[in-house]
Amino acid sequence: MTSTTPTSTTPAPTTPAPTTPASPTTAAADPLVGAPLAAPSAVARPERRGWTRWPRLALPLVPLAALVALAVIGPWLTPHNPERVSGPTSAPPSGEHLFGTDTSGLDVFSQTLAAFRTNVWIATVAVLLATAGGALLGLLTGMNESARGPRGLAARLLGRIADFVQAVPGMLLGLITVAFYGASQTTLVLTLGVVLAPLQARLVRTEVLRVRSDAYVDAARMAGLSELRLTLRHVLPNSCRPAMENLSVLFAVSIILTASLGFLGAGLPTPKPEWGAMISRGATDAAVGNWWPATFPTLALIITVAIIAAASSALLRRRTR
Amino acid sequence: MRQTLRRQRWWLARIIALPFQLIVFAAVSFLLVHNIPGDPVAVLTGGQADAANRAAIEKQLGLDGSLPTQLMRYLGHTLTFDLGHSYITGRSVASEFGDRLPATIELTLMGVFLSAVLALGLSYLAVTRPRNPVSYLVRGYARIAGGLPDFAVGVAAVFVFYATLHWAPAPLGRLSSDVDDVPKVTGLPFLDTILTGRFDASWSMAGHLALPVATLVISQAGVLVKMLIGGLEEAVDAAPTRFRIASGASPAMVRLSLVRRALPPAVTTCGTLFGYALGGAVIVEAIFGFAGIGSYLSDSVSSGDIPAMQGFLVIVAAVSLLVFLLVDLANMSLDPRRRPGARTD
Amino acid sequence: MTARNVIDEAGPRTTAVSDPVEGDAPILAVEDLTVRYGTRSGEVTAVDAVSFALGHGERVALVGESGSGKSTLGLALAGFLTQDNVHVECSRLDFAGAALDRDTRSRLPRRTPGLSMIFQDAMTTLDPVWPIGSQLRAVIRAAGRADGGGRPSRADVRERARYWLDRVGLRDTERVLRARPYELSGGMRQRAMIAIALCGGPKLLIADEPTSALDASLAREAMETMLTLTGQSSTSVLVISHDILLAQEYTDRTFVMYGGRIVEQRTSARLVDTATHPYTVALLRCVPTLASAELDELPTLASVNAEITGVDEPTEVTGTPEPAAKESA
Repeated sequence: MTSTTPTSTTPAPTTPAPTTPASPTTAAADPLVGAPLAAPSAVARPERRGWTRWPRLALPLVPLAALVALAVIGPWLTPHNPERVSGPTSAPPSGEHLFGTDTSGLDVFSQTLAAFRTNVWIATVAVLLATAGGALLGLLTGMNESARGPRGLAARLLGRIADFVQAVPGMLLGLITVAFYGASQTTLVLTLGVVLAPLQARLVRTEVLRVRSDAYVDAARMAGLSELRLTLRHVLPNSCRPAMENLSVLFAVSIILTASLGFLGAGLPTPKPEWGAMISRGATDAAVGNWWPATFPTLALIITVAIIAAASSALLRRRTR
Repeated sequence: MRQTLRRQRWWLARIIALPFQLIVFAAVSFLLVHNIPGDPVAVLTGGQADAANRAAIEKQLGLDGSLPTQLMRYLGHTLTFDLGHSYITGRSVASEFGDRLPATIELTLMGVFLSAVLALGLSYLAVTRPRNPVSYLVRGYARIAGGLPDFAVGVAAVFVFYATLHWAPAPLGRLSSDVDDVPKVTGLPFLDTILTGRFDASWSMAGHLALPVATLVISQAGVLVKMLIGGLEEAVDAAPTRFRIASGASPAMVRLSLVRRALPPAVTTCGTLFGYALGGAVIVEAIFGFAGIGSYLSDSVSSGDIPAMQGFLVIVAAVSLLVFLLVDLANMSLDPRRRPGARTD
Repeated sequence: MTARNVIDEAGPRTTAVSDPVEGDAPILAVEDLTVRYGTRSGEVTAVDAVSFALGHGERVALVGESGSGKSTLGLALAGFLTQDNVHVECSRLDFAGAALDRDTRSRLPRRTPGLSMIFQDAMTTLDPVWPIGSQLRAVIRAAGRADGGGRPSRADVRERARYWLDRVGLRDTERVLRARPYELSGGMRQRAMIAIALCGGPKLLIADEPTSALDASLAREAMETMLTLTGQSSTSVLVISHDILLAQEYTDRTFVMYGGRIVEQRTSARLVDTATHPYTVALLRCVPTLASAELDELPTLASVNAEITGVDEPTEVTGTPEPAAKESA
């Protein structure tokens, strides 16, 4: 026992002065938390902050920026008109046609590029719509479902309807709705919004039920805040996090749903550049060994989903710190 | 007797509620379809109908009378499994579905069942043997879960295993052209080949089913693996697991206890997955040229056959509600705390 | 008496592996057990080169504040620290006369035969989805097979399950056997947990905060039940607790743990008189008594420390032999 190093050299604990002896409630749960007597073993060094950290955090956002840029200016970068025949049919990739051409002679590169706008745009608007609608639905049902009288009844009914919408597989519901109302960007966005909103509503509702009985909500109610302002000011901000975390999943689902509808022929009319329809047309090519018409839109789709997932996890990680 | 009833109420109540849920759904879908813009009579006659003609056709299509009358009539028919007749072919929608639905359900069930078994095995391995090389692969696969669209996997499978390697048969149906058709017994094609003893057909069908089922499994199982890895990881370090081990229960019992506690969220996901797989089955049928509801749906969608689509909504909802019922019952048996009225303080 | 001197005397190594029970090989012998956690900001040493031995039938209390590493030590002894970011090392770990050899590849811990453990809260510890009877029978069956008696008969297993519930004082046997943990009261759950932990006939029972979730009278009852039963089978007991008085009252020896080290090993009955480490002294002085009820403010570790050393800065007093946290980041 030679060294009796003064503890001043040990890292500064987060709670500098010990105030209470071991409290039984926090005991034994996690050996890493709580060191009231500045026990050096359980002290974690505070995170280093500053300019050295931000490039690491910004890195996943660079592809996101590129994606947004492609969605905005993609259609102007195409070497050929994506909706016109521009060469021989089923030509393999070459200098003239970077990604080759499909069975009807459309340039795959131009189509893939131009489709960024269609697919990313539809998915983004649909996700925003679904989240806004879902949050509203979740708040309404969560705040009112245990109320007596018509208000509670209406909330419970609304909840059941959302359950019913969820009962039908999203793609099949989408297929039929698009068939009923005709395929256009508007119907696609609205359909996806309706299909996905119950998912968000459920997440928000669960949180609302938890938050609703928290002390600060009661305190605000006692203070005379109206139920509407209470909901908007206190309940909503504290119950939307899971739904926010779900955004990237939802985005992936809606990109894939749009493409699935396109694949089954219920998407936008044919020459309109859209990945699902391109893959569908490319499928027949793939069966005879021409890999390019289906591969490139698939890659574009998968990369888009991956970029969104990486960006959202980077952003969320930053927010939790 | 009353005592028994009370103890069994948790699942009886759930089963009795099912028909009522279905009726509500039928009503909702009827109202949804009723509000579609466009005039079915005009579609049917090409806009050539005069007043008398129109009344006759409307009566035939069940479009006469007030909205409540139509709704009640529709619900009455639905309860007797009469889903109306196609505008286009005039055939009964219910019998069309009776012909095609079992094949799709069989494909879906194969996909979901294999996904579940595979996901359970892989995630158990990934959790209990974290340093095994296979575990790294499984975790990587779970990370891209949900990002693999089934149509892309299907097209890639056809390209690699049929067009390039020639390992798989042509994507043109369930049976090779030199195999005779199998008589129908249950309507589930693969089961029928076994029931009728046509093992040559079983063999051929298994070959044709390999890629489609693999497509469904690869595109769907990831979500399940991700879910199960999370659940099992939590359960491994949970106090009940440690207590089971420490008190000296057999290793088999410890594993059973671990899995039973980790399973309910995954079972719920399986239910959702069934819906996705049903949608996926429609896509897979399109890629591999299988007979099933996929082609019927595309035909009805492209010809605007409203009774067929409406019937489709009701039937798919019925199947989904049934699956959710099974999921609920499974979860309530796995974890009795989920039963209504269970006391948890 | 200065604090420095005391530290040198009571340093963990000097009193390590003190004679447990004369003329008997220890049931558990530990040397230089170290547990390190990898965290985002570096490695943290939770248990630092701890050595001790436990005799057959001996009862030892391991006390310390939360974060002192006592629970981690218990989990490490039972082999439950299989997480990827946790490193357990020791130069010797003997149990029941043989070195423990643990499979380090599997994330799912394996049982150490003869070593049983109970945990803080029976509600979260008992398997929530199985009835008590099933959990009890699972252990009895496995124990019967391990004894080499082959598979015990169903009637036998049932009979033993009833017998064990009876032994822990649960009279409403049939109902308890069928009940799931959430259908019992807190005290009943605790007794059921003790029955399940002991019905396999362990040689050593590690009790991690066995009474913290109970009120004072239930805590005593549970403690007495546990110690009566282990006494009858001469099972050794290691009680991990933050309640220094309760621990001291029911055990033969008391180990005081602080900053990942055992800083004091004393005979429980004479702990108050013989305690020399300032941390132990401070812990004992913080216990509320009838006398301290008169005070305006109950003593805390901080105030006691300041009083003992006359230094305001509490960190100076805590002076453990050396800082246990070795950050490698």
